[in-house]
Amino acid sequence: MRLLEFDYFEPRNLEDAVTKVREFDGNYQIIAGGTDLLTALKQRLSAPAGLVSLDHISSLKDIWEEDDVITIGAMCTLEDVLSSSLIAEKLPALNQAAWDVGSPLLRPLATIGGNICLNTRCRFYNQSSFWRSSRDTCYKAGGNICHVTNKRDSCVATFSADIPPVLIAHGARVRLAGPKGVRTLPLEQFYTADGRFPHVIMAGSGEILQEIEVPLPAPQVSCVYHKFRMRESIDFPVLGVAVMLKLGEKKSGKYCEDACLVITGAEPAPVEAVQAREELLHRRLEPGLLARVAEIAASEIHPIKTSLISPRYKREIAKIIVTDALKKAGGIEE
Amino acid sequence: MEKTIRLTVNGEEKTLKIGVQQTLLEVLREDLGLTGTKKGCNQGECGACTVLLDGKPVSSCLLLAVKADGKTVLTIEGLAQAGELHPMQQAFNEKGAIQCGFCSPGMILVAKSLLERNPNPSTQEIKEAIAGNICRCTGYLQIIEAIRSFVS
Amino acid sequence: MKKRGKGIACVIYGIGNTGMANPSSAFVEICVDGSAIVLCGAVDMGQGTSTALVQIAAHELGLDAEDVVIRTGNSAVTPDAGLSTASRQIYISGNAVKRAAAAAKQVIMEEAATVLNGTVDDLEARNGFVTDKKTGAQISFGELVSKARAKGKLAVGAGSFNPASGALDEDGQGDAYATYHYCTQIAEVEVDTETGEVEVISIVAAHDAGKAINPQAIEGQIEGGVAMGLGYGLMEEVVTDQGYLKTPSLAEYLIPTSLDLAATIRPLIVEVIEPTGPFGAKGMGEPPTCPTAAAIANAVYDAVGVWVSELPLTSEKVYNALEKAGKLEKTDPLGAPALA
Repeated sequence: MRLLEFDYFEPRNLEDAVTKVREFDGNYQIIAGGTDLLTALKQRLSAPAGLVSLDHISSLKDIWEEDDVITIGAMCTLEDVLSSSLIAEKLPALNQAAWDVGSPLLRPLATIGGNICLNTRCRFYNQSSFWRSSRDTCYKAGGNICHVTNKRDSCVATFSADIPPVLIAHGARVRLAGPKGVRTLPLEQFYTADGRFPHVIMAGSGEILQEIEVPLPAPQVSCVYHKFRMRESIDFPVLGVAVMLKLGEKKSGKYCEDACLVITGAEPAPVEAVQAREELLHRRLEPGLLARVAEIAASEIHPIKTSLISPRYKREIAKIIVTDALKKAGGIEE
Repeated sequence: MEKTIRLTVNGEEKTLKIGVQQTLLEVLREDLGLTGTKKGCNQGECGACTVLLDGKPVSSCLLLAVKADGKTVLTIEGLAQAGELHPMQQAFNEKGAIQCGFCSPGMILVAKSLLERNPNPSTQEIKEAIAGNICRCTGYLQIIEAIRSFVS
Repeated sequence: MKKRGKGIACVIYGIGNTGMANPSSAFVEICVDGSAIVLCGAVDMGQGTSTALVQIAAHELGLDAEDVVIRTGNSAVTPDAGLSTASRQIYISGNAVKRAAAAAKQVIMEEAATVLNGTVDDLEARNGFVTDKKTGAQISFGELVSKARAKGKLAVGAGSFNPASGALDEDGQGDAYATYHYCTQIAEVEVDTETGEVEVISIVAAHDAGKAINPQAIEGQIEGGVAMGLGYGLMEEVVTDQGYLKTPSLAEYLIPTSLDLAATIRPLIVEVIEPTGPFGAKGMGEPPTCPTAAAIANAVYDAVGVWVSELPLTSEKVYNALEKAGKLEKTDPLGAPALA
């Protein structure tokens, strides 16, 4: 399948990029690494009049630490993330999540910004136009029926990116450049929970993801990412979880001072398991507690059959990988 | 929309007028006639279209050629010198690491790039390096064996 | 918790088409430079038949394999060899090539008997020379072809072979194949009793290929076949729903990657000479794929005591089977929360 023709722009700075995006008045797509976008364009999931490439905006390609914040340019490739000693040392879970994305042939191209802005996925949507033509066009592709729920005006396509859970667990913020200037917002607020337009940029804000700001974790913070997938390479997660624990030490043992659990692969947005967090806070880390917390976390996701994996199995997997991630983050031996 | 790009392909500098919607794979196979780079799934799932871009293995079906402007591309055709196979090609031959041959160009380029970064990879590191290249014939064992033959 | 088990599966596999004629043919010519050309329609799509047919021709002729070239799979040039299916090309085309080579060789052997003043029975052809075993006198293939040619004779031969497969009766019964491949595989697996994931630890694959014409290629066929069988057993599935294909691409129809083949595959070649095969060889292209999934399923039963009667054994199916049998095992018990 070949790509349809489009115009292609390579602005040299963010202002020009924002202007170009505005000129297109919605009929454009931003291209970062392009590994997910090109597949979608080949499948005719969209046919933008123009692509705005961020390749030549050099300010988007740095990783640096300043005033207890690690800033990562949106155009850093996953390979850049993996080869950053700063990230390996200070944000090992981010390193792990970057390693878990795609395959070695995609990571030199795919960017961290692209992973954050990844479109949601569904077995009725991510298919060739020929395959899709045997059914009515689904809501996400511009039609008026969801083949998963049989509802007319909603989309339950699943958020499947590996990196955002880790960033949310670390309390990261994203810096967005748009027609009204620059703003930052907590990454969890970047997502809309709408399968059709899963984040503010796809929802039409006309903005460009500039960089990600991750507060330097306190020494007592431990964060891990666990991904469950069908194969050991290439595949999107069946389910993934990032667990951040801030540990305190008392005579009675380690306890949880703060925590954050974020699950990907279950719903149209990454899900923060807030009740599970509540259950953990100020409690002593013991295997029994961890399994209980995992049960609660699994009850907080509402998976739906957007892949070949059943929602019920996803819940069961959630319990297992959340337990494993909690143990690892808590330094509890098997 | 057309654009002129400069590519160094297998050591040769090329100035090419391309359509911006062309993938690097299409430019290599159709504009330059370098059909050693295979078109498999055309959606980044199989690795048959692997080339080295500035020394790193990438799926050329998911890379717009315009994004490779100014970069160096190595395809399987660039390995043999003066009629002599590259040592990695020879090793694949000797170890039986080729059957139908469709994954071989990508596998060989990945192997070459791995050894340049890491001259003594463990078996696990070899498996990780080729984990984006699907092989349907060999079960990967003779491929891993061929790459291991360079490890001291 | 992870539990290990072992399973075994055996296959008897008929070589060639079932209960019907399926002949093959080949031409061989020995050239004036002493090399030989084999023409045979057998298509090699990576399984190594071209190499093995060259080896068969070279061995029959008394030439080094380097001095034999083969042209295959072009109906404008090559005679009909039937399909590269049913693991039939080495057994059937191998015999055709061997017969064609013998016929071409007969021309130069007779010429050598004349030139060396001996009898064909005393002659031996090796490495491109014909030697009189009694006198030690020798002459090259090239010279013999030149001399024969001067007398109007060319060193060409045609050969064909049709396996002695019996016809089937109206119930579809009968001696359907001339020969059979036999194989046994043993799988060792580790089953995660929480998730249902199955990891294959090792597979030992013993295959009776008759005479192993090219052992390295046969090992490649075994390893590749086992890898396909492992994919078939654990993840590969064409799923349809009311006629809609749910696994139309490699994103859904999952083929094992290098990291999914953690198993050590140990190929064992068992050489039981097949009297009707070329130098005792039989076919062995497809059989290695056949027993793997069954051996894995048996190993899963051995490990956790549940049968999963539908392939592939995805983690979800194994999980469901474990749950139904009450055999899910949680590593971590639920406990009462304790404040620090």
